[in-house]
Amino acid sequence: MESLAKLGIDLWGLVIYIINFGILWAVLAYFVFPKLIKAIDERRSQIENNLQTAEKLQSELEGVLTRSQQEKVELEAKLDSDRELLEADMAKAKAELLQEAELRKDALIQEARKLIREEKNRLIADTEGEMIAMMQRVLVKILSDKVDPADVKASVEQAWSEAREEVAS
Amino acid sequence: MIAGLLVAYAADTGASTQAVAELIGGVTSGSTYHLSTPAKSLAKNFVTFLNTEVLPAFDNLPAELNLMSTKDKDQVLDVLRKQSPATKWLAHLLETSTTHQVQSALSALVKKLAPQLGSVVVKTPTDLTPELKVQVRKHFKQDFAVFITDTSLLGGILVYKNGQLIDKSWLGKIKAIASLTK
Repeated sequence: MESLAKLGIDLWGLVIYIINFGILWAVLAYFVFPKLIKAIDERRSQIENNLQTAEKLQSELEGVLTRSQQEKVELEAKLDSDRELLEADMAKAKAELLQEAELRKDALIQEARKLIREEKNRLIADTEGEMIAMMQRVLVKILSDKVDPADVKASVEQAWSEAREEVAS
Repeated sequence: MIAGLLVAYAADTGASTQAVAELIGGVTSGSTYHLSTPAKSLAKNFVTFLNTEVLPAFDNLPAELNLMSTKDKDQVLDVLRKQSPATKWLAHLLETSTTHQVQSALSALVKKLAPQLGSVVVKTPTDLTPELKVQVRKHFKQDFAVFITDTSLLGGILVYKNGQLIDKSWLGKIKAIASLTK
């Protein structure tokens, strides 16, 4: 006891402190600790629930991501297929257009050739007509101006001898 | 006026006045199908007279009669006047009309008097000689021939006979050659 006193420790004071601490502990253990423990348990439980929910959501998200990836792959495959079909259609349409254009070109060339031929024939016919008309005028001019009247009279007699055989009396 | 020729012929031949009046009436109205027998006989004889006497006299006229001076023309027509009363009347017609007009009038008269006669038009570039005219009339003795001068024919002859065309003219030959090349 004395040694404790030499050290400056009051044994009775220590006992009182211990009793006070015990009383405080008992009050806390009775009134505070259960509520605190309960709150901690509730918090733990909530955190666990949240973790489960998060795991579930993660799992769902992974499923969605997987499905989305799969759909993306399918869609890309479909797009590729559609593109190929479209390209094939375009190639076919292009070939048809080219063929049609070729046919139209041939038809236009034929038409142009026909028009040129007709125009050429018309020009030739016109020229021939003009030449014939000119020759006719020249002949008429020569025959009306340059022929001896005696020859004209002779031609009348000659023509009559021919005509009388054709005309019944 | 051309009917005066018929009256002159009737007077010359002593035809009945009634037949002459009937014939002139028929000619004027354009219907000579229902004439009496004397009138028909007169018409027939008159057409024969035209063909045998008047037309040869007409054909013998100079081609340039219309271009002659009055004095020269009178000399020619005097010859015509002395032949018969009918040719005298013809001379009178030629005094006031051209040969072409008289020829056309004669042709119209003959068509009325003798519709059964055919019609012949002979076109030549120059006037036919009287001899050739005689030949042509002889050839077409069943028809009434009219001669027309058309210088555009250039040469040869062109004959219309009752719608039939015989073209022996130079112009016709030129046109035929031109049409062959078309």
